[in-house]
Amino acid sequence: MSTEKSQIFRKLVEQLLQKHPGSGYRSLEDLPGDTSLITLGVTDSIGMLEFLLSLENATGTQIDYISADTSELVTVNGLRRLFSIPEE
Amino acid sequence: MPIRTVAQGIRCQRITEHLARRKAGSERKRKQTLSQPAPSPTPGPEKPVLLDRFLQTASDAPSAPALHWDGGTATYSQLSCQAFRVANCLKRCGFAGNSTCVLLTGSGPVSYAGLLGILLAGGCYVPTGEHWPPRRNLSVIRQSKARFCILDPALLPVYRDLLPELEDMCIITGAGFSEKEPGDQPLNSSCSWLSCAACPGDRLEFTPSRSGNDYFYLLFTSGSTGTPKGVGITGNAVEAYFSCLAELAPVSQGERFIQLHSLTFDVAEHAMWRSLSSGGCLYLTGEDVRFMPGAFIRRHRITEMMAVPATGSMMLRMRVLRPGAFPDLRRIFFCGEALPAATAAAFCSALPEAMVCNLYGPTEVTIACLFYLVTKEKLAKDAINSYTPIGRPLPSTRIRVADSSLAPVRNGETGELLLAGSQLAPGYWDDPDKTAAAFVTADDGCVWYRTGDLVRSTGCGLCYLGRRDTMLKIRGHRVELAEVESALAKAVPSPFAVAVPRMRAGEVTGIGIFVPADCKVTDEEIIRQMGLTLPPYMLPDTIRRLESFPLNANGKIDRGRLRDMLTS
Repeated sequence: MSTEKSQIFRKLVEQLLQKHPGSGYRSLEDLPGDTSLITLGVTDSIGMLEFLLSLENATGTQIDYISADTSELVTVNGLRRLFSIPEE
Repeated sequence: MPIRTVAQGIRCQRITEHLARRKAGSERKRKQTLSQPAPSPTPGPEKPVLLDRFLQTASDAPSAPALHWDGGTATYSQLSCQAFRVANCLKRCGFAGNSTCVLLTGSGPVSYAGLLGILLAGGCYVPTGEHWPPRRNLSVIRQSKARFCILDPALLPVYRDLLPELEDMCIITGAGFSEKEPGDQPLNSSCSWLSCAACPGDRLEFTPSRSGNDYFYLLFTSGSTGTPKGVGITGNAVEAYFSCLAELAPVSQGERFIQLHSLTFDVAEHAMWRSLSSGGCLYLTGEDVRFMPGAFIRRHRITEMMAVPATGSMMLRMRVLRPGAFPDLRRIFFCGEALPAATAAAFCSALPEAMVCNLYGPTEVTIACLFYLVTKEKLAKDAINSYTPIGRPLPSTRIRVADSSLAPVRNGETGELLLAGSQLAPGYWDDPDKTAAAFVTADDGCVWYRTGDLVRSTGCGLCYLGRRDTMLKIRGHRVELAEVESALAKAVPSPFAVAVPRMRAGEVTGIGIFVPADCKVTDEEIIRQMGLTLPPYMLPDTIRRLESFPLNANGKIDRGRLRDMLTS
């Protein structure tokens, strides 16, 4: 399941990067782990929402967005922690 | 971020003296210094109530929190101290009343010290976008004819490409709340740089004088010709809006307001003045909070929120709208685009004691001028096409639902919404042609603003039905597709390069573009070139390449089918 989650995460991130080619980032490895994906120009607020909902659907993990730390929701490392996604 | 200690800051008696001078002195009539059509006198309060109320709080409750941001807070005393420094510095540099002054301050606390200082100096503030491309900010600065700007030195990296382009400007720093001084100044021989930090922060060195008909702020919206168009709003118009809002939804002293918007968007004026004119605290947010403000609202016990409907819809989809989630939130205003009835109803269910209000208004008529108070029961019968009505006009505003000859349509018929009243802008900035086209005199001799919005009158007021042109709203921002396509044409010079809105559940969520399959320009290069002139919210998030374009019966590109292709 962990490997599967990692693959799902990679796929969704890469879809996000393809949608926003202007960010200049090409792959998951290119992204700084602790910087907001919105700040990096990888996506905007609606794109981030769609991404989170897709990640929830794909992993079966639901986040409580009232108690979640917003800064965790928008970085690669924060998302790994919230969704228990190991590094590949 | 360390806060400069200004406990010694402002001396209350000095502010009180200043207020007394304002009240005693008659307003001096000043010559119009801008090359703009002089605003026609509109009825309004005799003195600038909002600014005076802010100063009154600085006098009466100097240690009350005025601003809160990630890393710091500023009291009313600290904020007014910095505002006085800016005002004094501007005056020492020869800043004339009713002149424009640009804010190169992003969305942080320096913006508020800067704009308050500009207003105290009798000027009009011109926000720029920290995420806008330098060319767009430069266009705004040049159109505004500003000779002064307030700069937050912390944002020097953001404006590094813009600053060398400025000519003959006086760049003022030192309005911030940290000890950080500007780093290396970009080489720019024709601009003068100075810090306002040495100017007095405890008093004004001049007798302030503002007329209600002086410009208060100048904003630039998307323009169909590819250039942003300016809308200057007068003090009277701003005062009229907040006076009406105070009647509709009074505020208690010491409330907490969330700022979800950049100052380049007039919706930001709402939270700012509702807060600073009532002794409240304005909570500034960054992009990461704006995308999901629920946790922030709960943690900081926010009492009033003004948001675009897209934010409300996101909160709904994130499952945060549940009973008891926001026990302190008393009022929720939506403005900027059509409000889905499902979003409004979800807020009513989660916050049964709170006021949920849908506001409507174009930038040209000062933030908002129609309102509809939402209850689930009313909404169930009033909603049309699954959207919340825009309701009835504020007392400052007159409405007419008109046909193409501007004559009123019969009750219940669809027509274009025309607006008049004391919130109306004098016209477009330095653009008599656009002004003449949009600000029209009807058969009743009254000047009406043509909104381009199609509406129908119903028992609950007006309902919004759509646009009569191709203007879109994306998260409240006005977007002219023609401006997007103008930027696209520079990147892809082909008649088959088209921009269309991307829709989701009836809402515009972004822009997609279609280019010919044999287009040699890469996606990255298209985005890069468009990004030279367009702000992020106007950039496409999808690029499709087509071997052949669908055409309609007239042989034109079938944009409806392209839109469907994008959605599917």
